[in-house]
Amino acid sequence: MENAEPTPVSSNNYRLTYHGSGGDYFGIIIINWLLTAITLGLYYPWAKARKLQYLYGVTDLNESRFSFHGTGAEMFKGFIKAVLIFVILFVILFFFIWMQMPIIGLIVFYCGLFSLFPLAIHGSYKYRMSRSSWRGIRFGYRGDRADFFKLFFKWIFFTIITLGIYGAWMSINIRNYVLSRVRFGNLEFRYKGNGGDYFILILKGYFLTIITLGIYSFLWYKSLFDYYVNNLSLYDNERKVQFRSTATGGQIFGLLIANIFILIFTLGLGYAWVVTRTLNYIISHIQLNGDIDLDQIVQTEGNYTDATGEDVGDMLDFGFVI
Amino acid sequence: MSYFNAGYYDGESSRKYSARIFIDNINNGINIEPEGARNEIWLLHEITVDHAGNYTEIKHRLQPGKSIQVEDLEFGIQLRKVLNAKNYSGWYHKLIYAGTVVHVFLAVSILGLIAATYWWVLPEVAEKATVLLPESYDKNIGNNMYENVVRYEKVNEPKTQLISQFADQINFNGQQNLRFTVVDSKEVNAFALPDGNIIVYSGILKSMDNYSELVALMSHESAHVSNRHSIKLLCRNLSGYLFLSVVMSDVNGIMAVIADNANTLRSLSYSRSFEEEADRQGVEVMIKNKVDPHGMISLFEKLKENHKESLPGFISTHPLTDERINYINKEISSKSFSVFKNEKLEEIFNLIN
Repeated sequence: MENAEPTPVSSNNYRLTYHGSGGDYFGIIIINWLLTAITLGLYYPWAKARKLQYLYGVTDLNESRFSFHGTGAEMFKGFIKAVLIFVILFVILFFFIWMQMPIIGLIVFYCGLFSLFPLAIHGSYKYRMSRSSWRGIRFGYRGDRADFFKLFFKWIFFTIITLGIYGAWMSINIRNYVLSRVRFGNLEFRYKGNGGDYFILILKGYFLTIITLGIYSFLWYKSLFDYYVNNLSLYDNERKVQFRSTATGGQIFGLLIANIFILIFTLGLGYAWVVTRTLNYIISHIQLNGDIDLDQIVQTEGNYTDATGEDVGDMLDFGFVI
Repeated sequence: MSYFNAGYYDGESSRKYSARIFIDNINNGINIEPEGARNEIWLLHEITVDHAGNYTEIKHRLQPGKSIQVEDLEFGIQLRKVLNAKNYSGWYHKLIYAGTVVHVFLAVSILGLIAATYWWVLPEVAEKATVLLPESYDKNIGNNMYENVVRYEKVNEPKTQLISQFADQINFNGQQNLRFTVVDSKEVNAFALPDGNIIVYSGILKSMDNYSELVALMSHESAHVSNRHSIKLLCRNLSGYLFLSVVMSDVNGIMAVIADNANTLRSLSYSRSFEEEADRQGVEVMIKNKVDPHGMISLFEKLKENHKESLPGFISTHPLTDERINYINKEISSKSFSVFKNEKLEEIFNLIN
């Protein structure tokens, strides 16, 4: 910084810590499982709220925990809407099949399904961010739905005509768009990825993994993790916090191998410990450096309650990183 | 009354106020004394409490954004006690605080319950479902499958006619809708479709030495049809799959995969028990028609030569041939029967063979 700042904050002041324990998380998963099974799946949104509330609550930035305040009831409404959307899509499909026009039915069905993707991404970010906070300051997502919808289809189009090659650019474009519109009070997230770099990363990782009979895959995971983390930063006008990965290929190797053994020898019941180990590793290997004073973030985001995207996202089965 | 250290957040900025708090039993609330902000009392019925390990977060329902965070296990325990006593605490927290031993016990019981339901309740339900399905359903499925077979295989018309004449000479326990089709193929095999269509490969006909073997094959396949084995198998597999995916898929991928494979293995054991049932009923049909039931045994000996089975009985759909010959032998020796040489059957058999 060229200007002399009134209160320079040393970069050592940021600490991310994960406090979760496998035993606690196991309890949550098991009770969720019990209730979801006996309600034939209807408990799912509440189960998800419990899970997120725990995972946020054990994640700590500078001695203050994150907080998820979405509720099962909110997500249940989203869940019902998501189910309805899928039912309607299938009704349309079967209507056209019944009318002896299966091709048109399939086209309409897939167009409907594809247009759900951007809506689900938008909706779930908007809901999830509005329900996340730290020290009472809410996160928020400021993306524009119509804008994102158009961009998404533009990127899909390029991906199709390049036979999938543009897919690397597409996924980075989505990250750039979405993450750069995440607010944390008056702070703004920025993600500065580049499709070309990402494409080379994937190409290199793919071929080296084959050539080394899989050994390189751990370094590949590391480079992907680095790429996700190192391009992320947080801005407050001139001030900035930069995210940096300190993961190493060897550690990731150890982590994943142990995880596989835990899962195999517990027949899957050790899943809670696998998640705990993994999150603990990820969170303790993200370093923050910068000069933003985290004690002076101001509340800017309003409330938002529609949880439809969250559940459409679940049904289409894509996991979100943030 | 004991004080605890907490972080207080006012919901307007991220400033952390150090606060001293205590549970105020007189006012039924939590007394908060933040450094540099006004004291507050949050009433117990106006707060939401979340726990994660030894950490407790309290939010005020009427003043969103405000929160207190306490990292002290003792506080969490005391607060829960008070909330429980005043009935502000739900059953969920009681479950969560039951401890890992209870959770492991729960997990094992759920698994046990799932296994028991899967093993004992589902087959019954599936059986009932089969009864509810109308015969026309069997017909439709069978017809579709038959069309597919006929489209891709070469039907041997003369032999099909002969085998039908052969079948007319036999009483298949009164089963009327059987229709036999011979398909040209080297394969030593035959199978029954749910609608009574039975496909016989010419390969298996060629390997036969006398008509009792053909009667054995036909009786066996007719038993599959009269017992609706294929529809039963379909119902059982489908119900098992649906049940397991509802109760397992939510937990995690590994357990879903294990459940899926268990279902496949179970389905194999079903089809083996169906084969055995068909073998036994086939023997009965043969005895009723005064055909030598030993034809069933020599048929399987031929199958054994042709399929040098390497898979153990555990994962094979049919019972191991030796095993089969064994129980058929026992079945035959437990019955009294008389055998007559049937000239008509022999005559047609020689034409087919």
